[in-house]
Amino acid sequence: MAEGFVIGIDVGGTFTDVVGLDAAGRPLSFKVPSRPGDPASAVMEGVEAFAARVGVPVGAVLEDAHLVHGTTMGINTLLTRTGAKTGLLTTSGFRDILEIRVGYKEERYELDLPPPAPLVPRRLRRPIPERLDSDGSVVLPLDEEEVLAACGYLAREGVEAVAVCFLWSFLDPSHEIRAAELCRRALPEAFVTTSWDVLPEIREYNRASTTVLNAYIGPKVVRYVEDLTERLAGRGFGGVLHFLQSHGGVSHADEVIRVPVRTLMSGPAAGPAVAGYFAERAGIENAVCIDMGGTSFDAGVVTGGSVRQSRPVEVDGVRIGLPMVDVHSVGGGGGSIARVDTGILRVGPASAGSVPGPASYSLGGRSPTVTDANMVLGVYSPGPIAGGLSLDIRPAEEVMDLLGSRIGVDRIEAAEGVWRVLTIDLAQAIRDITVAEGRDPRDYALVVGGGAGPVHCCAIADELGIDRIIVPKAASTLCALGAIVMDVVYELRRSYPMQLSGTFEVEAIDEAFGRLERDLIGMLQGQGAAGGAAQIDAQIDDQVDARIDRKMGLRYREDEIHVDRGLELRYREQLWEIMVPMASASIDRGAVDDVIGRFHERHHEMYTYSEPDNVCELVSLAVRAAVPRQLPELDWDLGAYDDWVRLGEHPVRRRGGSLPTPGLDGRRAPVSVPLAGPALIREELCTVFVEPGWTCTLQPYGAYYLERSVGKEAGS
Amino acid sequence: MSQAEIDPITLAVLEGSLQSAIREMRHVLVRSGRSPIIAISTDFSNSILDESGEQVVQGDDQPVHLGSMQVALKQTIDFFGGDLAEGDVIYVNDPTYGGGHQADMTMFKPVFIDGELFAWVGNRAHVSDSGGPVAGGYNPLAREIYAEGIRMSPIKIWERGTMRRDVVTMLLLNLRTPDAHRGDMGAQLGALGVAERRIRELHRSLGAELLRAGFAALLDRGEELARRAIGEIPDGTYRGHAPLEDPRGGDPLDIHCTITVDGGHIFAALTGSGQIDRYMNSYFGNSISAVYAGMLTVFPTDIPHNGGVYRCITIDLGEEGTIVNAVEPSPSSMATSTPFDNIMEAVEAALARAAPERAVAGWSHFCGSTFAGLDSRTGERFSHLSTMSGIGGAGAMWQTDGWSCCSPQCTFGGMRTGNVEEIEFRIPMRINRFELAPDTEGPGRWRGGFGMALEMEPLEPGTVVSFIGEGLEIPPPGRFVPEGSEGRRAVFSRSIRGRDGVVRPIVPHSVVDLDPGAALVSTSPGGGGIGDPRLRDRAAVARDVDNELIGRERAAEVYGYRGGEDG
Repeated sequence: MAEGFVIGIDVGGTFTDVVGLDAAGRPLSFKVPSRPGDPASAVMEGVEAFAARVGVPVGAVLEDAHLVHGTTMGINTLLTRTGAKTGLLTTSGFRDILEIRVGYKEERYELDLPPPAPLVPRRLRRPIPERLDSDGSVVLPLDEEEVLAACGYLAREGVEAVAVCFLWSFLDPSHEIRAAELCRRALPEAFVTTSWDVLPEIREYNRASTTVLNAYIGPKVVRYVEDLTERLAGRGFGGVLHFLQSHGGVSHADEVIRVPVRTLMSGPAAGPAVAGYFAERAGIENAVCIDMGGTSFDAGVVTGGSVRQSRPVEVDGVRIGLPMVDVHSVGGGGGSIARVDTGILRVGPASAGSVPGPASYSLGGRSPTVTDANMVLGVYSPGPIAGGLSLDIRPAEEVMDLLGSRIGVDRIEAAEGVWRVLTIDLAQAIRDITVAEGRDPRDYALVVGGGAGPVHCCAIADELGIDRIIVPKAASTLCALGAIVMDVVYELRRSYPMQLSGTFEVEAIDEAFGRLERDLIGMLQGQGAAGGAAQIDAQIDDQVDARIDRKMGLRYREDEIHVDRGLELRYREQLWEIMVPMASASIDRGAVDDVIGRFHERHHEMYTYSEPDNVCELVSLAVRAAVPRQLPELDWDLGAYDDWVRLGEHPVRRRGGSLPTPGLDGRRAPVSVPLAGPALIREELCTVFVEPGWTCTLQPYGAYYLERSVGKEAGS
Repeated sequence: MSQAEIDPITLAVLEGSLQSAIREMRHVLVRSGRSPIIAISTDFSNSILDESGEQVVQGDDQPVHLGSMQVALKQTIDFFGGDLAEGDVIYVNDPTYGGGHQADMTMFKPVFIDGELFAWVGNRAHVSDSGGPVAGGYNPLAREIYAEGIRMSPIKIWERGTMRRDVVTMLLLNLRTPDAHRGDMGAQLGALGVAERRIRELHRSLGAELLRAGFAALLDRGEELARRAIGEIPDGTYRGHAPLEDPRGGDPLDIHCTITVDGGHIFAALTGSGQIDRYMNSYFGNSISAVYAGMLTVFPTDIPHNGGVYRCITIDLGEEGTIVNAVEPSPSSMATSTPFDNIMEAVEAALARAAPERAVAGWSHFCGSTFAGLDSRTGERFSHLSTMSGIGGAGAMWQTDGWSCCSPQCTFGGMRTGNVEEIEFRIPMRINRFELAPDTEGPGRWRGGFGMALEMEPLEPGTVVSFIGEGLEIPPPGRFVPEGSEGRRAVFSRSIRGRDGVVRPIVPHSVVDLDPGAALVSTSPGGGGIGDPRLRDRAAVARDVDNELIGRERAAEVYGYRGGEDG
């Protein structure tokens, strides 16, 4: 796909980040203001700004462009509860799965937390007589009269979306499919979705909740995709439009239309993928990606080159069973507010946001924030910053004085205190996602993103004993960069619960894998889940140019697609499973035994023990089909500078003195010339703080590589 | 109180490090605990205590363990006197030494630095089996504590850095699942190691004096926060009562709580009926935890769970030999839910008078079933404690309705029922109904959560169903609900629908055989409401009516709601 321009656009709350490759394949990154009410306009503005920067008319850019988009449409629809009026068809007797939440209250020490309102109120959850048994056989056939009656009711109620989720439907979807068919006929305008399409896996709570969320955000996300497609078409778009997916890959717009809920973590999921990209270039296997902006700190893990996913997850009280890139988010950013809470200094989670923002923005903010601490310490310099804002020192000093007076210290010590407390909190967030899996954070490198990340990364690494840090030059637009480097990925999982003891049916597993793979390849080739792979195979002619294939609707040849299979296994009596990749393509007894052996090993790694004599249960089959991104190595246009260019002295103030610190020009940084901390590297959109004890070198792959200097111990 | 001055920044760093240690302990237990109840239900607690045994930090873990580790450690310290050394690890489970019930295993390790006792680290975890005649520890047939599993006074399982093979072997010999138990012990020990390491690091970076001052400051801070919260309650004496259905039949037993608030301090006096020869007696450690758990309502959500808070609460459990201050030989395996919930309720009843604006209405108690038999699909026997069958609605508070179908108050809602499909995959039962039971809520201006309607049918002949728990006669109490305005209140109702279609109620605390075609049909109570139901927001009543959760008749009779007329 190197033929046209490649543009990654990630929509955020304040800014829409753009990273595009110009005609020579050089990345350009910049920000345009977001338009919360009309994100598509910000995307169009991003495209226009890109066109202006590369000096090509918009039409010519779009003619054959590859657009990759991270959208917040889904998550915002959920967070603001502005989704569709949604109905649910459920197996009779199980109307309240969503509301019962398997009996569990997550925040149990919040005694007066009101019960969550389900996305579908009870009156719109319609029970349908039908039932499958746990082996998939029909106990009670689908009562079509009742389906029609329920649809009539939902139509009268003016429902805009319907989710269908029946018990055990992943073993035989015919009841769901038939009910959905009747539903589409009765409610032709509605968005109708089945659990078979969204999450054909065991555990009805996860399945119902995810399917309902898909219906709830579906109409808005679909309208958005269609609107954007139309606007792009209006400007002559003739390329490919991809969306970032929660699972850490990108996929075509039609897949978003099919299962909109897969874009829920669209933007943040890109972080770890980018971390993997840079780690690979640095020859590092394990990386923690941190993305720290104004209000939140997101951390994700890449181990052995693969991005960690997790599930189920709760997003704003809604259970989601689809695997998503594990992004652990805590309140902690430049806008986080410091306060004294009965003798203890705390930083965040409350944030001054971008309005009124930190005191140093002079927009009326009167709370001491992390940014103000950075001003007082001299890490930031007064003057203009991104987004037309400007930093002033006086208000920062005032609020830090006030904070200091409450603690009984001066403003410098108060600001240092804010740093220390913030550092401990953020380090804890990283411990939570590494230690919980039995990993030692010291075995990881930090890959740093966001506006505030490059300032705080050395302190966080020191706290954790991490001794390598990668700060991409495009750190402040990290997720948009992800859009450029991420693979096209489609994933499907289906449950086939069975005990893998005695004479289990290995042929059944093989057959099931075969079906999953055919569906997946069909989706990748643009034929939908039910697409017949055989038909497409017949169309393939070795001579056909892949570009022409795409225009005909056939996007990828089968030999471009890499397929990985995995089994999710657990011990009998366990309630969670571990995904174990299959080493071989053919499924026979030996292959399954091999997976079981590796399951025991992995279990031991994760939980410190294994039970080789215990019976293993198969829960789900997983197939992942990826089309690797065929990108040439990015040319970061680093120029040829012999040495660092000084921008002056920027003493960093410390208790009892100040640290002479040079300011250096990041835009004229020399490749492979080591720089010993302390140093402040000024990039266009952020500052990299190389603390004492660290050495920084700009790498040809477009990132600063920071290493703890020899002889310095972790944590000192 | 503290010798060295400690500033808010250092205190934040110290608190952050200790919290981080507690979380890491939690990760270790979840990761390496072998008993499903540890790993899945996170039925455990971790704690860091100072050298005197005062608890400096406890995780937001199991409410049933609140404060009781401090109690158990005091017993342990008294037991050993000065006979403690670096490398010792102590294990204890007996209710007469501050334990909850025998299935809760508590492990302590003294942290010695430079040859001096500096701090303690400890944790308590609910294990799968604790020996005795019944697997899992809940023995409804026990008439004495001796029939409820192995009893351990504080014993050293490690001494001066060496494991005592003799003692550990003897212990494991008493358990059905020695391998899993060994794993659980390893997990508990691993978690203690994490906390010990962190204390040593803090000792190195802050120095002994500052670290001690920090512990003291955190305790003082807990005390200050608690005093401030208690200070908002008017001084006075307030009485509360909660009944406990007598498992032997007859009139209910009584639990009384008298709370005296006096200038930022609470005196809580508990009295109860005489102890009984059934598994619902609470020994002192469990009762103290229940009192703390019941008091949480008057504290802010982020109050630390530490000894400083407990300094503001003096608990008197009354004379020995009662259901709230049991002594040998009373059995107590149910005590961590019943009468734990009932003790909380008595405390809450008293506090509702003291601090009406923080009142909590009653929650459904736990009243579950166990299914056992042969699974012909695998040829193996199965046994399944069904939490699904035992839960009901949570109580309301001012400004918030109770949660529907929520696990009981002794867990603060932190236990899962499991998914229908998971249960059907695991055991040969079919679940025909698992949904909210209409008209079961305790009415109020804010109503209780709804109970559950459940129907389960065996797929194998001769499936044995046994019933444990409480809540069959007395509904969870409402608060400030005018007398006579509640209408009919639901209690646990359990019956068998035979193959002939006839429904027969189940005799409480019985064991029955079920065959395919017959079914267990049960309804659980909703939580209690708060305030006058006639003052309930009309839109909220309308919503419940539209949602077919409250029938029109009940809406009219109890809430004074008539369709859209006055909506």
